Amino acid sequence: MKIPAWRIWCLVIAIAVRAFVPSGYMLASPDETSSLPHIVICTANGAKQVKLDGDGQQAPGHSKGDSGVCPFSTPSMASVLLPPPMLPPKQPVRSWQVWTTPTSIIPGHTHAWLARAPRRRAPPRGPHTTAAFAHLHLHAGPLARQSGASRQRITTSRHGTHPMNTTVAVRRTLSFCVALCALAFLTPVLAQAQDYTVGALKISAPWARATPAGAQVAGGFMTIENTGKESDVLVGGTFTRSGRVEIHEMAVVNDIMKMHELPNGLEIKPGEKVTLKPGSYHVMFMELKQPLQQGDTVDGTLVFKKAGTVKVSYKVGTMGMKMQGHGAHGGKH
Amino acid sequence: MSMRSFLTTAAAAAVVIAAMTGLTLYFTGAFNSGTGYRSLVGGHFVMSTQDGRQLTDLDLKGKPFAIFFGFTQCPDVCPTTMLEVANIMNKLGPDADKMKFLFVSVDPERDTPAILKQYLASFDERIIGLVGTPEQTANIVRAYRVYFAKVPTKESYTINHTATVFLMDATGHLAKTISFSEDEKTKLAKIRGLLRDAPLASTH
Repeated sequence: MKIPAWRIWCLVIAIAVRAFVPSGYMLASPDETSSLPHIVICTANGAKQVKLDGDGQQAPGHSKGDSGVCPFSTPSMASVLLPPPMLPPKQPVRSWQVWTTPTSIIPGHTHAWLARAPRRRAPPRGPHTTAAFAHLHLHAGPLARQSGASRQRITTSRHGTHPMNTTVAVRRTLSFCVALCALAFLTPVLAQAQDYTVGALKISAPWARATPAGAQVAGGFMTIENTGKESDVLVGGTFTRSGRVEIHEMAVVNDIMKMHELPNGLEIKPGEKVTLKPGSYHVMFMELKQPLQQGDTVDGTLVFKKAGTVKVSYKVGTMGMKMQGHGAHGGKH
Repeated sequence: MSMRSFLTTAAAAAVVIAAMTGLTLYFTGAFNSGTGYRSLVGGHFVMSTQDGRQLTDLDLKGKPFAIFFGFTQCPDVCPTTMLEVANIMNKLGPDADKMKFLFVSVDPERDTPAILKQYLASFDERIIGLVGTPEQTANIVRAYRVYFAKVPTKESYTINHTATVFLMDATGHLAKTISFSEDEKTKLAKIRGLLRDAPLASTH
């Protein structure tokens, strides 16, 4: 038997190359010369590259915007934008979990999530992510290549593993019908939400969330529309169940809850409609005297710079309520 | 090429392959116990529970746990997260007792065990509330790599803080995280995953 030596050596080299390069290895980009880990976040505006320093903080001067296209962002965007199908998908629903290297698990810096777009008229305050949906690629740099700890794992949701069958489809359709009926019943209730007018300002459906026992603060929400030609500013107010009222802005940026008072109030420009809602602007009731319970109606006032004071009643919804009044049934008024 | 030289080449090739495979396995950490590298999130702490008992990280060994940092005077993220945690605990049914849920106050100046007890009872009494001295709080916050910062308002202050729920395995190591913006279904699936992986995690 004669086998040329070069064939064996070719085989050896091939296996050696395969053995030395761990699966999942990616070629480093030219600027990846430093040992700093970097992440690429696929945003709606294209890929954003962020370098991290040893503490996991964003390294200064290392972030690049629009550094390229994201090969996977289009399908994920579509999944966010398109309504869910009525029938269950044939494919099991999968959620991806990324196991990262030690340095890269720093909360608030290496994770990407649904970030809120900067609200209208909000002055720039720190890093707002403009993506409607972002997902994360971990570029396994030299670090992960050695450790091999950058692994991906698929967890399959139990609900998603059922094959398509008529029972599920029927159940879905039924639950959709039930939801529709519930909405139909709820609509008259929601329509009762009070509107208030003061000067050129129209205030729609003030509401608050029920509070847990012992909580000393609560948030008040509403929509304020300026139908006039002059700008006005919400500067404060009162709430019968709390010591005082502040105007706050809140946002979750990089999974960090950030909240601050608007010391100069919230401006409502002419022709504009500003919605105070969870995760955004809100009237904050400080020094709460007693908890707010679902179904309560609590009186208060709102004070505007030009339009003056207006009496309003807040309807108290559930603790986890996201939206009330006109926004709740998605209609535009 | 004779049979002999073929055998010599083949033997050399086998040695080279074995050596390379060994080196690769060594460098990729496959010889280490299980998962290889560990996250730096988590670690030693001493805090008080809402019942005034002392609790340390050692008391949590043996069961996976979910840990969240917040404060009772937080109007949105904290009640929302705690409500979701309580809903998830309901959905888990008896499985909820296979793990622990912790709420850590990052406001040692205003939060007390009594306030925490009252607060958490609105959600689920099985949630363990942790509060400590400013130093103890600083230690647990550092251990979990959590960000928090006091923000003054006209008459008092509020606290910006990490809204992540950390899912830790039975050995006290980070298994995964839950972000505030994820929907409840995903959060539930992640916690179920943690419970499913729990026996594995406790073996090493």
